[in-house]
Amino acid sequence: MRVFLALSLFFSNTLFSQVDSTKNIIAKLNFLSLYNVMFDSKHEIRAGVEFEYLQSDKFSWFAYLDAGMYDRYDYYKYFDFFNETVGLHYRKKTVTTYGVNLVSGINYDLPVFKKTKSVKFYISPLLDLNIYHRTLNTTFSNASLTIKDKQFQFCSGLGIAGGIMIRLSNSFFVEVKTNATMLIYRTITKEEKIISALHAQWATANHRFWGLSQIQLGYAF
Amino acid sequence: MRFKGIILILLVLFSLSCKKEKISDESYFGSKVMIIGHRGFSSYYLKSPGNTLETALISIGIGADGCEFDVQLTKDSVLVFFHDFELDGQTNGNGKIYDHTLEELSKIKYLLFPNIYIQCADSVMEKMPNAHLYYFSFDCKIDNDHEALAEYESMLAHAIQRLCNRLSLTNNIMIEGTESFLLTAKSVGLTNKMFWINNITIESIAKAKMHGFYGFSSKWDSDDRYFELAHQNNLKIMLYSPRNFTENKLSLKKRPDIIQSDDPISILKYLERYNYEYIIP
Repeated sequence: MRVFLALSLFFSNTLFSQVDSTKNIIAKLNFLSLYNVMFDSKHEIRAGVEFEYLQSDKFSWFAYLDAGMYDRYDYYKYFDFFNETVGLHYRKKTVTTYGVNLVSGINYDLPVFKKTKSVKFYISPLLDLNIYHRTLNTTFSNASLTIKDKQFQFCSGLGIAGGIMIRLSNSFFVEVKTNATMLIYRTITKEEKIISALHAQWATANHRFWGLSQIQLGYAF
Repeated sequence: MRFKGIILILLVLFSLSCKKEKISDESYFGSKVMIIGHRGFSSYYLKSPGNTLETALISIGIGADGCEFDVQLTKDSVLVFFHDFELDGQTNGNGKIYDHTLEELSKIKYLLFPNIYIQCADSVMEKMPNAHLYYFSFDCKIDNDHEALAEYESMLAHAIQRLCNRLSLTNNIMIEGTESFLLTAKSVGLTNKMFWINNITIESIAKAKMHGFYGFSSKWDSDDRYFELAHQNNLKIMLYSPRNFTENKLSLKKRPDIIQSDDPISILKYLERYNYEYIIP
């Protein structure tokens, strides 16, 4: 039996300090990051840490670091299912990708019609930096041959985020946040094998735009 | 107390992420179960009606071993990919496919997908990259109301034969059809793998063996009591239309040789055959 664990932890201080000054650290679990572990055959072990500082009533800045192993999977491609040429054989790709994603931005709290301490809407311009290192081993079963390959990629993007925080109780809250980011610079050791933004749930086929959504259950302590 | 809560949440997530025992993808004949996209990925991909080059390329891109197309013949004997007999409902045209020429069909648009036209099989297969590495199942749509049914069947079989010979794809194009059509296809000299669309029973197994068919094409939830008997008689089994992960897994449990899935993504991921490097456009 194989075991996988994906966990994102986000720490934030001062965010709800107006409500309870003794609870100025909040740990959040991002449930959307569990998607790959629950439904994909990919192994993923990663953690994210976010710090947010309240500068004023309207503005705060945040820096979110998400790092770990994003990819560890095998991809089998079978050929000649009916034994018509050389017989059933496969090509197996074993892919492992480690990476670091740093997303930083400024949150601007949107005005609301009715003042409340339990709900907050915000938008944020952001900068997204990511660095990936991938190893790719390709095995050809009919030739008993394995080709080993490595690649490195640095990428940066600019984007915008929008989100809502809902306070459920004195300690718990839910946050829903979505980022949309556009590529501004990329350097890669193998141009034909671009690595998509691995912290994102959505990316375009040309890897120039990507989106990251988070549904987080937070606990303040 | 707070940390106990966090640890409890972590333990729940940890146990949820433990993988269960896998269903094998070994086929009865010692090969692997072939996974192909039904109608070229149409039911899952909402941007196209399917039966197009674009959806077939997605099937192949994600790691499927090919795809299924619905095949019909136009009035001027051109193979086209279209599911329904009638153009009404899905397109801005009307009448049967076989009552229109290719030129007439080329002006007809899908109502829900105004930029997509009915595609010609020859043109799609010509543009298919590395087609000889994949498998394509041609579901031959036979309208029993056709006034000259026998002639239509014969012309359809000849058109498939011309395509297979021209592109050297006889081994890669499988044919699904009625008993009558498959017999016609054999009589005109088609040597493709022929799958009889029928329930698998003792009687149908005997008939399929007698006719020299390659196997059966059955709906994924059809009665599987005689699957093993079919295999013992060297007949392959193709299951079509599982629509989601659960139905894919239930199909796999029946040990077919080919699964034509409406949701190939989930089964390919499950079997570690999904190409994560490909991004669906």
